[in-house]
Amino acid sequence: MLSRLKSWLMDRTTVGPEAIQAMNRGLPKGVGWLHTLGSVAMALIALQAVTGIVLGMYYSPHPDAAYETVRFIDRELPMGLFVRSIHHYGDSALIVVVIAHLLRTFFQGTYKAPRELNWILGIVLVQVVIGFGFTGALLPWDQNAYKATEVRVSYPSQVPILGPIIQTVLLGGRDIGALTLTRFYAIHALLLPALLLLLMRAHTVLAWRKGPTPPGARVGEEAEVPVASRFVEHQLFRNAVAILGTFIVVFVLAAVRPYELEFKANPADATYTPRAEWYFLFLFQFVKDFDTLPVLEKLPAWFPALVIPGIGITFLALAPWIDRSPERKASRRPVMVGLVCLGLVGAVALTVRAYALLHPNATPSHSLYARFTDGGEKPLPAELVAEGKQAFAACGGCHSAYADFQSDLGPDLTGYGRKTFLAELEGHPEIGKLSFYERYRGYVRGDLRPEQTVMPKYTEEMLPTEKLDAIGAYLSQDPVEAIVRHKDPTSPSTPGE
Amino acid sequence: MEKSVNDPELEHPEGPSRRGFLGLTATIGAVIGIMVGVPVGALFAAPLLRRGTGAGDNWVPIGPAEEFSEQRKDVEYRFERTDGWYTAQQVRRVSVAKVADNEFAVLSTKCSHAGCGVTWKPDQQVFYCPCHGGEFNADGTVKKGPPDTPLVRLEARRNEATGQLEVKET
Repeated sequence: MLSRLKSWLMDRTTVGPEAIQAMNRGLPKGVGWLHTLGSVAMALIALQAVTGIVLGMYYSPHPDAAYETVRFIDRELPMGLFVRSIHHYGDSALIVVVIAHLLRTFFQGTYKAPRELNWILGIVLVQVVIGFGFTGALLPWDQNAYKATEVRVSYPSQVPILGPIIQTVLLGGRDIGALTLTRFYAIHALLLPALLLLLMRAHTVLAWRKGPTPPGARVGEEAEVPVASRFVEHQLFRNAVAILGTFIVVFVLAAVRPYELEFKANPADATYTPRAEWYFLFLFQFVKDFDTLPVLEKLPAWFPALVIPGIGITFLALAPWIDRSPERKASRRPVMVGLVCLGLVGAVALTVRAYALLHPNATPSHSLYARFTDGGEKPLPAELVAEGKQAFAACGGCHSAYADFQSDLGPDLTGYGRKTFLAELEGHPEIGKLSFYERYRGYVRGDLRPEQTVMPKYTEEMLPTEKLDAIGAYLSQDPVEAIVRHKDPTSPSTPGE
Repeated sequence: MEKSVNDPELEHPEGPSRRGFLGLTATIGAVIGIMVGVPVGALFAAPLLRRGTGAGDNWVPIGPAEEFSEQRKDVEYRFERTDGWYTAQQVRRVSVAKVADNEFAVLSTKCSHAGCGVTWKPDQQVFYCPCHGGEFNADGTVKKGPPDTPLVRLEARRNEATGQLEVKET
């Protein structure tokens, strides 16, 4: 029975032992674990596809619904947050793997004849993968999604003459809005997958036809390298192990550090500082540091943000024609390898620097605001805010707050609860572990003050915890909306939503 | 570990080494399949659990109970229904008649044949469906025409606290 089914299938598919044997080609000496990266990238793309498809079954790209649908996925659906986190970390892993794959092919000189075309296809594929991250990042429609996209789009829109055109075509309008969301969704879920499948097919067909480059062999001397392993027997097994390992990393990250939503996108909130995706951090830091260089600082921001990366990508794409020597060994191509190493070291250093300088204030999920709004989803309790305003009278002698209190003695506390403030505590690791509420309470009570201050220590008798909480809620109002409300007392008080 | 082209193991792909590797590879493939399949499958099949669909008993007031008499009367009522992340107002039309003290016959006005709206004809004491000419008796049973099953009777109760007649929406 089983053997009849087997022969029926083999007959129809022409896949049988011969086909497997044909696939079981010999691989030159030196082909091994580093050559699994392409397969790992393909497996990650498949993972992104299946997780993306099920997420798409619940998602709606509408500004009034996008955030709500994502929250529904996270909160109501079985494994919803887990699958969404896998999709998030899967993207990061894919970036790492395709860049590693690119570096492997570069350092082994495989971009040389006869594989120049596949090298260029690979460079284009990296751009497609980045395009997925760029468009996908907006879809949750939370504050970081919105604000980070705003920053990313700001660079191309500054380009003279073309800028406004690029911006309008990219966003579907002048600002990020309903048309941007549907546009990004269509690009993310329709255009890019089609493009990716086509390019990936071409990339793998070419890779298979030409076979792996024997590491170290000079151009034209590939045939002299002996066969050391076979595809089905050895490489397929290595691929499977590498894929399993990568998936485990992605799944563990998704389980241990789920990718939670922030508050719903609120374009009016000027106090919000978005975070760049970690793989964009080097560029973000580069643009920032570029602006401090003598003479060069006169150049507009789109120059370091777009032109210099563009030059780098073009340089890589043209590598087969810039470096025409038959040598493949990295040690025999010192200039090319040196240049790329320099770029690589620079990117790593800039990333490290960006992390070191990253302001912790950009993490509002730890803010007081989150405490009083259940993670930013409920509006601030209005009675508590009103109560807090009254209680703040005790603080108003020294501190300014919104349009209600004016004093220059202490820092202005307007919108204070919406930030992870107390930046001065960041140098104290034991404090860094505390929640924002604990820091706030500790500071006011006086048990948590690394530096001397004239501010009195407010004990429970002087300021009961209920009042402390009410003040926290009061200071968590959106500064922009609070000012609007101040001018127009009839407008509803629903900060953040 | 290095092998030359003439290595016998390479020459005979059916050898034990290949079988061992293939078996291991297949096992790893199966592990990956389960790893991915479980969460993705759970999310795909989530509607089976009816979580977050707002399903459940929901008593909806349709009007003061004393307003309904033995005379059949059509009532429109609205209620909120949660469909995943989306909550929308639904409108329903039912036909209500009092059959005894504190007992009401609330019939759906949706024809059991093809779902058209039926109208009560007091002179003939029938519900008439304009689509295919189906007719139902006052108690909802089929009188003539294509329908096979009676009109749906909704559970109804008088809320003692509010005096409202309520129907059960599921």
